[in-house]
Amino acid sequence: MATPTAQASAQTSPAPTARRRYRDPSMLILVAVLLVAWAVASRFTPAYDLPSIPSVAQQTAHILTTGSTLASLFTTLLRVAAGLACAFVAGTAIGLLMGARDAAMRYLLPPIRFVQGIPSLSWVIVAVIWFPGVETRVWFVMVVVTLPGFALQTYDAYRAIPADLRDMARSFRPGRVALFREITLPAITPGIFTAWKVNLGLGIRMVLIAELVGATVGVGAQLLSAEQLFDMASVISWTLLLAVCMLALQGGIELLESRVLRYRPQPEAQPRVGPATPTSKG
Amino acid sequence: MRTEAAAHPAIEFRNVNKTFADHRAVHDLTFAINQRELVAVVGMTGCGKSTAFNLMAGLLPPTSGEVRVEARDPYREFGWFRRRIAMVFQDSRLLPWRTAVQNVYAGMKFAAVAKEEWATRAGTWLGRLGLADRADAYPHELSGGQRQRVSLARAFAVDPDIILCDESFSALDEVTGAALRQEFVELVRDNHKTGVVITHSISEAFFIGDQVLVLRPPGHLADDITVPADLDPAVADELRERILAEMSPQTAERGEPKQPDLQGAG
Repeated sequence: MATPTAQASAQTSPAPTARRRYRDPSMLILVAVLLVAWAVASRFTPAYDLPSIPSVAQQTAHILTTGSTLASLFTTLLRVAAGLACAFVAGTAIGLLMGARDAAMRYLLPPIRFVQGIPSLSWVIVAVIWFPGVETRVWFVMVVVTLPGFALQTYDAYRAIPADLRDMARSFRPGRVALFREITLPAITPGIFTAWKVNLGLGIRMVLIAELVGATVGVGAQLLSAEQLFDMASVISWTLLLAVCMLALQGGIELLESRVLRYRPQPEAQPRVGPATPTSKG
Repeated sequence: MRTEAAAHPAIEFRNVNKTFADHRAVHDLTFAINQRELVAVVGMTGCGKSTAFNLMAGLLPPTSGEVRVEARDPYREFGWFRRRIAMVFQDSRLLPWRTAVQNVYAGMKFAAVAKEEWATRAGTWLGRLGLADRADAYPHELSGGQRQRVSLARAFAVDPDIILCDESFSALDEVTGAALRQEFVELVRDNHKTGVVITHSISEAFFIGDQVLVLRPPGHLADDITVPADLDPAVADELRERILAEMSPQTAERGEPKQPDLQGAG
């Protein structure tokens, strides 16, 4: 039953925009310009302000090939993963509860909005005072900063489920599990992906700040040490590594999102804007 | 498939009233629909058709009076009607994240049909409705008529005794709507179902119904017409005038011109 339609869908699918993006040289040109500018500027500035590209590359290689520094990178990523995973589970559950029960929404929505409004740095200070252990501090900051995003995205997605679809499902007299799996879960999934993408960047920034305050292992601790030694090459290396890790994780999430949400209509490729074509009047 | 005839009417309304805050949507509505009949409920916009539809389906409780479907209360005994009632709506209401065949599966999953029967039933009904080669298409890849066919397949696949349609063909173009109406009537008759079709089109009501219930605001039965099997065009015109007058007395007084689309009815 599957094949003819799959073929038909493939035939009608829009132009492969992703492939076109790879052929687009603008990104390569941009990177090349930045590298050239960096190379030129580093010749006229001291190394503690802007080190040369080779010294940064050497430092990056050192980080990636040394066990203790590599452990710092993985520790930071592990902290991000642990914090985000806990915030995701708790936030999604709270979001669903708020969506399904008005009473829960009345009691939970105001405090969640309040928590979201508290500056992240305040949470770091609170965590330092409250928790003696570094891991607990980092975990607490991660959860408290990213949980509202998951909860509110899930809540909004739940509230946006079309009443028509609920009525349709209800007309078949479904059980709760079937209703959740066929209607609720697919409907909130796009919101959950959005929350992950937003919270990943936020989480990495937060874990770094939390690690700067009191951690001995992790990228934040390494950056603090580099700052105290005026080792700009290390600062840039760590920053670049973290940025690359974040981009890779974002890419992974987007890939998963495109697979899970493949039912969405693909946007048509935009025609290139060029000079107006003269029209003949006869 | 349950084929034995029951002694009671399939659907019965006894002095049913339904009020929303200050708005009276249904007033003293009384009618009966026999087993395996195809009945059209026709009326102007806002005359209480959809409220009556939701009352039949057990999605709303009556304010007073009695609604009986298969001699039971569809609202209080909501769960009993699982796999006994299926609905087809004006818009197809397909799940956008499921393909055509998965949408048919979803209906069966909601209705707790045994999983081992899903593939056979979905294949059968999508095939009958001419969608075997579009089974793996997502709703946005289907035309309006195809989407409505999928929603019909979803309803028939649970093998209900009663199928309720709420203006299910009115959003389609004339040609597609007519084809789908024809298919629906054939499927209901061939499979010995009781069918209730809510419509605002008198032509559609004549085409579909063995019986036409005419509603007048606020949700009151104005007429109950048995449609002859071979409806003569002249009789159809006469009935049409009668229904128009009952639906909206002002319209009848103005003597608006007859529409020719009844010629093919019956």
